[in-house]
Amino acid sequence: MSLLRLNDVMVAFGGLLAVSNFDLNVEDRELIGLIGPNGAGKTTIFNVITGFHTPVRGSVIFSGVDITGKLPNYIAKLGISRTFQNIRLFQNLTVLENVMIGSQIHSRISYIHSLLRTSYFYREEFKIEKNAMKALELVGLERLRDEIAKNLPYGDQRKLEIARAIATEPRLILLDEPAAGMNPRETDELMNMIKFLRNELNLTILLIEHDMHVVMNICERVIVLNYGEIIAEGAPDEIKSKPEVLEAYLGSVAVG
Amino acid sequence: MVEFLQQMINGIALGSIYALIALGYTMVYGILGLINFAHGDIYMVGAFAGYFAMTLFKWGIVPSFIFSMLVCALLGVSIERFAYKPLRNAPRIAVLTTAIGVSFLLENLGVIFWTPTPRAFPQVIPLKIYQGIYERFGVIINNRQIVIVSISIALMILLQFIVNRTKIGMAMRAVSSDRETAWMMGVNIDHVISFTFAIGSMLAAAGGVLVGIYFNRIDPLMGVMPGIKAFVAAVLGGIGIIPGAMVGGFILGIAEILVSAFIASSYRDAIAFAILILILLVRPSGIFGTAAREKV
Repeated sequence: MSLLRLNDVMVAFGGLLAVSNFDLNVEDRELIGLIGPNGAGKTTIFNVITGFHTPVRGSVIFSGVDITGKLPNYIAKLGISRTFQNIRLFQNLTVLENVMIGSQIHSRISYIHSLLRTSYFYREEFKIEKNAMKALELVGLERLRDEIAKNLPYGDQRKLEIARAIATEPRLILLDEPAAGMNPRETDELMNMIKFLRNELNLTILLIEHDMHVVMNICERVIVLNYGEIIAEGAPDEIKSKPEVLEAYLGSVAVG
Repeated sequence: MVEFLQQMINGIALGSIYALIALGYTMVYGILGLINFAHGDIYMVGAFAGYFAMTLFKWGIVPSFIFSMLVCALLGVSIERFAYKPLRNAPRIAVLTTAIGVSFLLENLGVIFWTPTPRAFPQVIPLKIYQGIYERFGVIINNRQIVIVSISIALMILLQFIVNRTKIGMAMRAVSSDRETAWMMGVNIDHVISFTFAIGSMLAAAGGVLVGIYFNRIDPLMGVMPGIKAFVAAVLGGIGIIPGAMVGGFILGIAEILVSAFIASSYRDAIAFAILILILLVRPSGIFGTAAREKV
């Protein structure tokens, strides 16, 4: 079944056309790579899906619901979560608190409960923290739970973002350059983690990544963007040899 | 020495009120990046709400206090909802101008409905001076000062608890850290912003009632100067930083009283501006602030 569908999406900032004629159909449990040169519009697509940008044309359908122009917190509740290219943690919150912001999303706890500390509140509170810890264990950060987020090493900050995204219990997760700045060992760990998310947690994954080693090894389908339009699409092996892809990446010189 | 000690005590009493008002400024700035210039006038409305609860409804001090806080919570939330929210994506200067407009609106509505004539605040706490302390140390402490300082400190502890130990506090800190990300992680930022205005306005209301009790007189323009001073206190401590507002408030109250006692009482308002100029020159990020971090 199709989980996410973008129909003829166009995004413009002032006179600049960031994305145009963008169609995408994502099946449940697919793992799709989104690649393209810098400025090709990849992150803009993520911003449209998460409701941060409203497209000037086209629609976004998630699991049968039209989410075009809906607010980000509503979309997050429906089951779409993400990480960011330039890490965006809540810097001064602890590791656990960062993830709890994610895991409180489905709690029906009101602020009144939270202030009056009813017994219902304690049950919910316990659940929120338990789910957050589960997400931390998944990425292996459970021992750092009380650390302040900004003090974590770079690689751990990336993992924490993933944990925070998982904690919202999404069906679709958007990873924006998760391997950026990681060393080869961390990248391997990351690839295993992404596979785990898909195979064990049954998540559907959309991945923006510049590290071709990652994309070619784990994605089943790759979409290549350039100047806001799809220029190629297919299995990793097909993509590698397409001339228009090489051209977008390397310029129009034929490579031998 | 005794004289100095006496003035310190007076300064702490005044400072605790500045601290309460400064907290509202700093919390709203932390969440929205907005200096809510109407905040001093919310404090004024708080004083009047307490006054009317005591004189018209003949309520006791505790229900009047709670009534005043609820009225101001509602007022603060409404101001945000109707004046600031429509401008959330507008340039900052637009919101700032609106805040000043709301401030004038409240002041002048106060003048229209309540007349500019100062009113005597009911003497709900009969003045009592602790004779024993005077005989032993030579300083005068009265029961009102003790009530003011203890209520202020209790409210500050409660605020710290809410911000650091509750879910909504955690959401407030997340929104303050990165509003857009918090939004995309499912936080309802409208609720968080409303809640912040409610809490900040309640603290200002408490400050208004306490000032009524302490100085015995209220008028519709009473919020202007304390509003500016509390704003300076928030900047002094590092705007957006909650403990900074508390410390800044006490420093400002003490500085004001010391200046008027030992230099000249006509300089009591000038000192606030002198401190503002000094802090902007020497350490613009404030006592607790980290330098040059633009927060949006």
